Amino acid sequence: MFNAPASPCGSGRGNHESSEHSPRSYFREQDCFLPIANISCIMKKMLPSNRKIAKDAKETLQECVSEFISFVTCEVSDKCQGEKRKTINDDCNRTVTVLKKEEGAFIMLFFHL
Amino acid sequence: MFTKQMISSEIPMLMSKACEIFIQELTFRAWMHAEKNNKSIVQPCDVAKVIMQTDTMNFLTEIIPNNLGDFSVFDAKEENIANIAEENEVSLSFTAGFMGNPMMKMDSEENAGNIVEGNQATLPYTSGFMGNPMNMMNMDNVRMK
Repeated sequence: MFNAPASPCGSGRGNHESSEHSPRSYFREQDCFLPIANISCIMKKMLPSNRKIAKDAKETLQECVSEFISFVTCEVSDKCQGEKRKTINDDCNRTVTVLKKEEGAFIMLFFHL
Repeated sequence: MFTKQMISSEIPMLMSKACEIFIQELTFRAWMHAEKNNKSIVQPCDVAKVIMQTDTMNFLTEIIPNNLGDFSVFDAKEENIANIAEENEVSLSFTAGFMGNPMMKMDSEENAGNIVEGNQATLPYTSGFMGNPMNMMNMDNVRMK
């Protein structure tokens, strides 16, 4: 059973400023989530300059992206498991080809793995 | 249960690109949802609503309720979305939600307090609706501030 790393980290959100290990969580927040500054930068590129984003929304997207990575990795892992392959590689070549064609199709391909 | 599996060195680069596209897609849809409600700040409830409306993002529904479970305004705004037919109707529903339940206003103020940059922009917006919901001119004035 795949254990998403985002779940245990969720309870440790209050631990944001501390670099010490917290008994409430097996992982530190910076180990589970992508840097919020990078996420914020990518989000702002999509909006007009006069639009603002609530900090809560950025944190929500942090969790969503972590879940996205876990989801895709789990799906591809199951696929490789079924095909008796140990290295996640062939899917990479296929998706790179799609990426060169169209970015929209790329994201949809991941959603339908 | 799982045998040991290795990851090709190309995968991290691919995943980073996928994550970037994913963030852009989700942000754009959340912004469209915020625009529909005449809001200038993208809120977590906008992101949550987009996730619930999009079939391909079903894998995210597990984490959204935990994150926004105590956000009671979310339920009120969901009713607003169901009532969207005319702008007046949305305004009335929005106002009724706040006037009927003082705790919702408290939640809204708390949320506004978290938005340092948008603090002044949000509170007058709410006050304008509560003060005189039927006065469109008043709402226009509030929006221009």
